Amino acid sequence: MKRNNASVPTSEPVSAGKHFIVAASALFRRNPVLTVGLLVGPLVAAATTLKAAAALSIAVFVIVLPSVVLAKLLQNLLPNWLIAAVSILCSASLSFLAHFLITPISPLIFDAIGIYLPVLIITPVSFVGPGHDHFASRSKRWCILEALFVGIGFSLVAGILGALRELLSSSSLWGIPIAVLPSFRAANTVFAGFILLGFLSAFFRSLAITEKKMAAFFRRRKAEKLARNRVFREQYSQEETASAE
Amino acid sequence: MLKKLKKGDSPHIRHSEVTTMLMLDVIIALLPLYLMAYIYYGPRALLLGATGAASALIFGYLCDLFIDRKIHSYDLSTVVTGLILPLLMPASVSYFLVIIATFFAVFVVKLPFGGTGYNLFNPAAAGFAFVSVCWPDKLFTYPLPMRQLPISWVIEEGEVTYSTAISQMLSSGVVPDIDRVDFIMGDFAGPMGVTNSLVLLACAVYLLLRRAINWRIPLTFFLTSAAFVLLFPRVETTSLLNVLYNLSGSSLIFGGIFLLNDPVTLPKRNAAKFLYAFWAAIFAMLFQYFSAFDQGIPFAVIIINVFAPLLDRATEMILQKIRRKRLEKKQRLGTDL
Repeated sequence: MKRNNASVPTSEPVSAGKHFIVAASALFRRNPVLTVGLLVGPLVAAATTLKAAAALSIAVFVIVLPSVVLAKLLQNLLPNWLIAAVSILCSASLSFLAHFLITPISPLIFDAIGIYLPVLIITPVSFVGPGHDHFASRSKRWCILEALFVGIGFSLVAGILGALRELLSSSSLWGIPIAVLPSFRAANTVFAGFILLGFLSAFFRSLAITEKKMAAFFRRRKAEKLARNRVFREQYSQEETASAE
Repeated sequence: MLKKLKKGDSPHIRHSEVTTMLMLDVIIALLPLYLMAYIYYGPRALLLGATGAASALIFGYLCDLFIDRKIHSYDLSTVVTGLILPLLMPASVSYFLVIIATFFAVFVVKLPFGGTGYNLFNPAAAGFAFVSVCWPDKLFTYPLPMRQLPISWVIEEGEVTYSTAISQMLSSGVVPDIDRVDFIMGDFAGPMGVTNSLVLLACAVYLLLRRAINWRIPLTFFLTSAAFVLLFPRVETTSLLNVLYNLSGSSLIFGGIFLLNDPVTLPKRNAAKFLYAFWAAIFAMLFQYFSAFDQGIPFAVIIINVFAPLLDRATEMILQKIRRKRLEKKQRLGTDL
């Protein structure tokens, strides 16, 4: 199974805080849409407005995440082929529940998703499938939290994308006119969705790089401070021994 | 004899071609088209060109700042993009559309891929395609030529008389009724830089003599487009007129000279260039015949740009096999002897 760079080895005792940080990295640094490209199809096809993005996020929370968590919990208990079948059956059943929850918000969302609804249903297999595992947390309990952050990460990207596309195409948000902006009809097309997603991915990656640089900067500063303290203590102890003599 | 030898560091053989000179040649070739557009539509045509060039220059500087913080002020490739875009549009188009098209060409087509020299798609074609998807009603309504257009930011309704372009008539199956002299002079409704075929061909000759474009591309493109029209005519008229109306009445000639010959997106092998131009012509004619948009060449250029590296690789593979067979045959003949 492929090990993730942010994975936590289970042989060592790890604090709850470290587990939380690893799980929360699914929000930005390991965002499923922007880094791995999961669920890009339904996103660019259906998330043309903020309402549609919200409906799609609910669909992911209801259809995809429970099946992903179930597949993760069943790992090492059942053979891979059976896990895939069980998770797909679970997500297919949950799609009916999603239909009832989403229709009041966005009645046409399932028509807009269209062929991508089966993609949503089989996504758990690509998330936790044979030979690859997108979860960084090795502990099954913390995987549930990580799955939650995956859902929040997807919703964040879907919300930004839907809002941008709605603003650009019809100068409104959630159907409410916001400002008089020139209308770019192309924002509703799939190619514009891919372009915006590409720019979002670049932005998130720049945030991750900035975060790494800042973390390295603070580590270096801490190391320099410790080194200065060590030098100071050595000097002080030498002076003490010299005065004692 | 020895006195004539000069010492120096390598490389000892240099090509005289430099990016700036290449782009300067293209700019010089575009100037007559702007002159003709000025004669047909007045100073608005020049202002549109100036807007395109200025916005392209500014966006190009910002693009360089984003990428490597070093401004390539001598690189005129963005200026060429800014000058080509208005020529593909009607003279009645708003300045805002030109700026948006240039913005898209620089910041979406050039910047994410690494700037000048690294773009996968022709920026002018992509910029035009973007604005044509966003505002098709503004981009495919053409004013009558030989009438001075107002230079205001946006032209109000009623200020300009519009007419049906030849390409639109052909799409409806109507034979265009244009005076021969007017047709030769380009005095008919259409995008402001593409109607005068004689001037375009003169520009092509200049660029060929300056080696700014490769003869294989426009020749193959025009021959294939003409053959397509002859095989599948849209209107009932003589073959020659059919070919002339289809090529001159749309931006095919302009696209075959200026859009397809972008040195960055062109295939590198000569054999691949023939295939590139052939398939570009097929796609362009299919777009002309079947798409909802009036100008099909920018979309065809974007599609064929994707296949340029594949065509290079495919022709290289085929040529390697041919060379290997020749070598084996030579060796066999050598051993037999």
